[in-house]
Amino acid sequence: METNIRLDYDKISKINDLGNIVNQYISGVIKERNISIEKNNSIDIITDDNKAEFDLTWLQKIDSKKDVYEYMSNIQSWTGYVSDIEEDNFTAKLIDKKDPTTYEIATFSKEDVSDGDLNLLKPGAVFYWSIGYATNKGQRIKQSLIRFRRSGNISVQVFDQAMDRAEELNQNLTWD
Amino acid sequence: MMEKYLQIEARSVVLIGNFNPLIFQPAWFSQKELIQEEEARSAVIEIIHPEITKFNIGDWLNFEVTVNRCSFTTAKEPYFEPIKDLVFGIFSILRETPISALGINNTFNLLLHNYENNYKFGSTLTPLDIWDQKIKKPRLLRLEIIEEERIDNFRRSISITPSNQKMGISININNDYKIKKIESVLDILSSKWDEHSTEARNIVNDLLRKIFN
Repeated sequence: METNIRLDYDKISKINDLGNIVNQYISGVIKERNISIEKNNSIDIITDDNKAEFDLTWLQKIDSKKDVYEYMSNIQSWTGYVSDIEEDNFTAKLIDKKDPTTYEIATFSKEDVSDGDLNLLKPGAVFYWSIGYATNKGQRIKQSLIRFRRSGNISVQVFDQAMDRAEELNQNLTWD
Repeated sequence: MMEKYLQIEARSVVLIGNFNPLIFQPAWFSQKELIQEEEARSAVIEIIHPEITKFNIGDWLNFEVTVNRCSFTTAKEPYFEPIKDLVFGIFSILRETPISALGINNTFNLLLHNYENNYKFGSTLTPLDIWDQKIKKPRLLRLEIIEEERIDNFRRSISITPSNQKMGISININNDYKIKKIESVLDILSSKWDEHSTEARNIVNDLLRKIFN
């Protein structure tokens, strides 16, 4: 008998989200711990035909026009999970990409969201928030960018469950 | 360490397989809600042809597809996650696409600032004095290091080339997967994206630390 397996990628994406939250949190805890161990121990840091490699041409063009290309540097990035929406604002739980050990809560104005993403603003929606300095024609400007994810959103309850699970795993970690 | 030298960080996803370039159009991306409508309207289209489609979305996405190669590139860090979501979204829809390889590429354009740093970088990676008698003032131009064996269909390679800036170099870290099923592409994008990003930064940081510390 032939069996057809159809994968629900939306579900997979949601499952991956949960895994990612837990993984981000736990890997952050482990990273912090390793840094602390490294500090204490003063550890020294130590062609295929069909290769899917990057063609540098486009990047070379940008590099040569870098003085006019708007490029962000010193970037801090968070993944946000929308928890509450009011008339002009929305509240979100934020996980720092570089330090995913805890989450913060922040309120944003809806005006910070581009018109093309406003229809995605719903409880459980996932977005990426970056702040950094943009250089354009020699001018250095502080920039903030919010971009909503277009698939795989999760509910606030599921987010909280994932964070609780991550915290539980953290409590159970034993360090030799 | 890297921040002292970093000029541009880019991320690209390259797929090898069989593609129909006519499908890949900004309007189709928008219709499938993979990008914003306004982004599709303002896309800068270079060519749409049965053999090749090429366009830019805003100033963040450079897209190119031929009948056997499809690439998504961004040089803007805030769009590293959106580019992954875009590839994931497209190939969740085009699930019948035959794909044989996936490359996740992290590229760093560095400016070494002066001749001394530039020379030290090249001469540390390859001892230039062994060429002294055959070549006048030998210098390193390009270098590629590959893993000897492919393990679990995966192989990493690192190439170093000059960038377009004077005293500039480009370090490209290619994470190359042989693919049998399209589900593997989606799985790798979900599970390996952050890992490759962290590893790539560590590789460049370690390299710079070993050379300049």
